[in-house]
Amino acid sequence: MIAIAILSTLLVAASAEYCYNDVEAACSSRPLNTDAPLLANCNAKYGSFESLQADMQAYANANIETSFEYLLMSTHFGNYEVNREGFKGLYRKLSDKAWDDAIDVIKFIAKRGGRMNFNQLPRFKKNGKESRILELTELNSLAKALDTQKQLADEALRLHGQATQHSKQDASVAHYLEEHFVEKQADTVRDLAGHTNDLKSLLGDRDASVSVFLFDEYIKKTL
Amino acid sequence: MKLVCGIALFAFACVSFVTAEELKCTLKPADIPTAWLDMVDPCIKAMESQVKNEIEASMTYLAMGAHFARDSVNRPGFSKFFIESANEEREHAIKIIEYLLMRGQLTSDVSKLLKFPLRPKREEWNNGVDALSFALNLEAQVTGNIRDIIQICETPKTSTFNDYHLVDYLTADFLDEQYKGQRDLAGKISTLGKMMATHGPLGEFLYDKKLLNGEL
Repeated sequence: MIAIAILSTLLVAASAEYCYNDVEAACSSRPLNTDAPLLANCNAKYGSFESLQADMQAYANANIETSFEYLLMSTHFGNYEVNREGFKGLYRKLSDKAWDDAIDVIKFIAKRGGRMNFNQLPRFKKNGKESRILELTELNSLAKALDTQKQLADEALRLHGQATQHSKQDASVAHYLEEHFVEKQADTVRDLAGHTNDLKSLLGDRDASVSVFLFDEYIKKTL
Repeated sequence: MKLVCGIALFAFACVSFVTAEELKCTLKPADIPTAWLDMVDPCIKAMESQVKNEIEASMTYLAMGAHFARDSVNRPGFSKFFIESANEEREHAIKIIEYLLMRGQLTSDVSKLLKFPLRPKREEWNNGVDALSFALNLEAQVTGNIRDIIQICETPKTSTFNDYHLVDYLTADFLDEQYKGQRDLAGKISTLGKMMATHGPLGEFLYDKKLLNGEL
């Protein structure tokens, strides 16, 4: 009985948001309340997207920022002094991926009736002063990339958790994150962790220059 | 007491273990002659700042793509067109970076190439013509920037070094693309502008579908 009462009050509350009502009002001969935009409820919003939107915008911006950081890391490995084709290619690939992901999130936001906000700051916990130093050695760069990918993956998981929470439940968002992010991120994180540990064991040598050369060549082949 | 000793012993063991396996993360740099590095400073600076310009253009196109993808705007053709433009501008930035790397530049301070956070110049447009016109003006600005770089690199104030190769590259590759791109945008504004003058929303609706299907 209580459930029915709650349901009916919900229905009454929701009926005010119907597109059909807007259309009826707009097409009737009675004068309109001109304050509101025409057919304001004829939008693609449903579910809990509204409360998840800001986080999704922040995630798109996180991918944009990450993409350009990777691009600069790639640039560093492309200069003639460092000259590591493999590392250069690895970070360029990660940069391209993050850029494409950002575009995809923006498209998803638009699909769900939202709008992109480029000023919504990414929810990144930058690790202090080193955050924007991108002229890194081979091992440092792998460490930074690994941390970055894990942050992106953690944020996707956090968003997924939000979208499956009772109050913000939205299976469309959760499914999108699963399909487009969660699975691939596990692969990328694992690959980078593997690379980092491989290189770690190669750097124990008194002179690691040949090891790093061979490792760079290997990375180039994996791309 | 025993436990404390145990922990202390373990910590000591760990420390000694780490120090025993110290990593050689930084390699000794090689000795490379520098006589081949002939780019001059004002020219390098101008090229480096062009990376920022191209990325700003890219972000602005991305904002256009996002705007036209909205449910209340619903112009998927325009959205697609502008997102492709965003990708192209990003590629231009990468081409400039690649050129600088080829000439032996960018050996330090790559983090200063871009200024974070990266933001678009604007996030909303009134209609298709408005956005295309904004894009054309943006392209005209970029063309102006490239011409400035050509001038700086041809006759730098600080030296007599005429950077023939760079000037040729910018002229043949970048300016060529700029002028063709500008002509394309101007043509689009013309066609769409004529249709919208008499058939506003319908003209834009039809034009959007043409853009989407690559029929223009």
